[in-house]
Amino acid sequence: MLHLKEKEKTKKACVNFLAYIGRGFLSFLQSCGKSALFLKKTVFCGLTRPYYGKQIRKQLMEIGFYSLPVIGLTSIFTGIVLALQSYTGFSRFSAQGALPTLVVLCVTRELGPVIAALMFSGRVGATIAAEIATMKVTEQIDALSTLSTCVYRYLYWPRILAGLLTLPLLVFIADVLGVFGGFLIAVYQLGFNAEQYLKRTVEFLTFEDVSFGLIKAAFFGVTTALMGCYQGANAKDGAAGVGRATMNAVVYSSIAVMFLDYLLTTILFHK
Amino acid sequence: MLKIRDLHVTLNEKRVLSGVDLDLQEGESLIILGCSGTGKSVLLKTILGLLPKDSGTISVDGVDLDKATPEEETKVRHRMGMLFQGSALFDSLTLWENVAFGLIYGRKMPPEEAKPLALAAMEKVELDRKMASLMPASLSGGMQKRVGLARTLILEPRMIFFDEPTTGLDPITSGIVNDLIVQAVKGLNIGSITITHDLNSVHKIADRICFLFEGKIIWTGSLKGLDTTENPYMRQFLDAKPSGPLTENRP
Ligand SMILES: Nc1ncnc2c1ncn2[C@@H]1O[C@H](COP(=O)(O)OP(=O)(O)O)[C@@H](O)[C@H]1O
Ligand SMILES: [Mg+2]
Repeated sequence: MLHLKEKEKTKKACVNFLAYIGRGFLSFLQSCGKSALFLKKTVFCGLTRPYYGKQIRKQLMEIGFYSLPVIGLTSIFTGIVLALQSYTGFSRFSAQGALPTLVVLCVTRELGPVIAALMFSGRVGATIAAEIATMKVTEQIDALSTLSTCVYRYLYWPRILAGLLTLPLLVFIADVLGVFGGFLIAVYQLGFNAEQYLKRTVEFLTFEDVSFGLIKAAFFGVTTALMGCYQGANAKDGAAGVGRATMNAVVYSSIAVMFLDYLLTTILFHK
Repeated sequence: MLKIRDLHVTLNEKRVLSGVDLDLQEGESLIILGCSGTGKSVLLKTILGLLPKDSGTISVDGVDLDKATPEEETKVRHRMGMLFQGSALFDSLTLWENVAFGLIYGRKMPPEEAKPLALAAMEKVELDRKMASLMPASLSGGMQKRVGLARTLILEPRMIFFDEPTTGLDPITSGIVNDLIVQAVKGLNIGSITITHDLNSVHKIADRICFLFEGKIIWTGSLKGLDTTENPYMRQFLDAKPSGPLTENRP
């Protein structure tokens, strides 16, 4: 009898747990749909006059240029660790010669775009969300509209455009630095010949390996900036709401990046 | 000039306004009184088109804004100004850029042309030109209110909405802000709706007074009517009694 009751309880807890996950997932899907509409409106407004060039230039600097150090550093270390770890693996069946090819393919096709995008969502997604959410809860966004200014054109479009344009550039730099990191460790620690290593690096690399990675990056850049703007624009309830918007922006954009990565990898690389 | 009929607004499945009727004449100063959380700010934001309404009509000069073309609607809305409760200055811009914002970004005026106009507008609300390149965060609440007022007035609105313009200010600063409002509104023949809890303000600026309770306007009258009213709701509010019909059904 008691045993049965125990079982019921466990079952209920399991169901509750699943319901919790399900609810989370549904609200995630809902916010995806709403943010798609938000994106549509932003693009529509952004492509019509007036254009706010000064705002766009400012965001290109803030979002793009100032993200360079953090993305550069993480990609160098990614290349270093990738070279070290795969050397260990390859040396177990004497295939060290494949190391340069592996490093460059991993970095350009996968690690460069994804790690840069995750750093981007931590830095840029959070900044955008916190800034816009603060403007929202202090009624600055309402004030913008009463001053005959379109919020989509003035606030959201410059940020989303900057995400679209700068993340591919950043990822290209990240690719180069990642390969460079692998090269450094291979030559100075693992005893590779520098010339041989570089030759091997470019030997099997195709144009698509790099360009598809950059296409992924463009999607990631838009997604991250969009999540920041969307969550910020929907913030409410003061300081706590700003915190929630920022967290949601980072969490949702990270999840979206991973999901899009899977989707785009399937579409682009496995036709 | 402004005419609102049977306005209903629901936010987050909560009925906030349920059948508001309101009129505003050219150059008239209307006060809205009411307890906190009854939807006074929501009413103003709905008129400005910042919040969606469920039903009801808002018309300006006889033109129903729902039936107007987008261009007409924008034209009307561009002549409505608002001074927000927390001033809502843009904290990444200097004072003159705040004041000139509507001209530069809304009306596409080159900044060199807009700056002298912004400085003149600042002088009208008794702000020193020397302060023009300060940031809003370094200002007191009263000063921020003035900048907010200048930012609205520079666009030459036909009607302005003030959301609790004197809340949180000391009595002297409140007095100054009230005088500025009277000067701006009466001097330029602008229609205005002011939300306030400050009975001093009411006496200084009111032409007509409305009382909002549970989503409806339950009392309208003049200043004289306010002092002599026997309406039990109004008496409780004016005498600041904790118990009475306004608080009866509150949990
Ligand atoms: N943007 C909004 N979204 C959802 N609910 C809101 C929003 N703004 C105000 N409310 C709700 O509407 C009610 C009235 O608020 P408000 O108009 O600010 O009151 P007040 O009369 O004090 O100005 C409150 O219960 C508030 O929670
Ligand atoms: Mg209010």
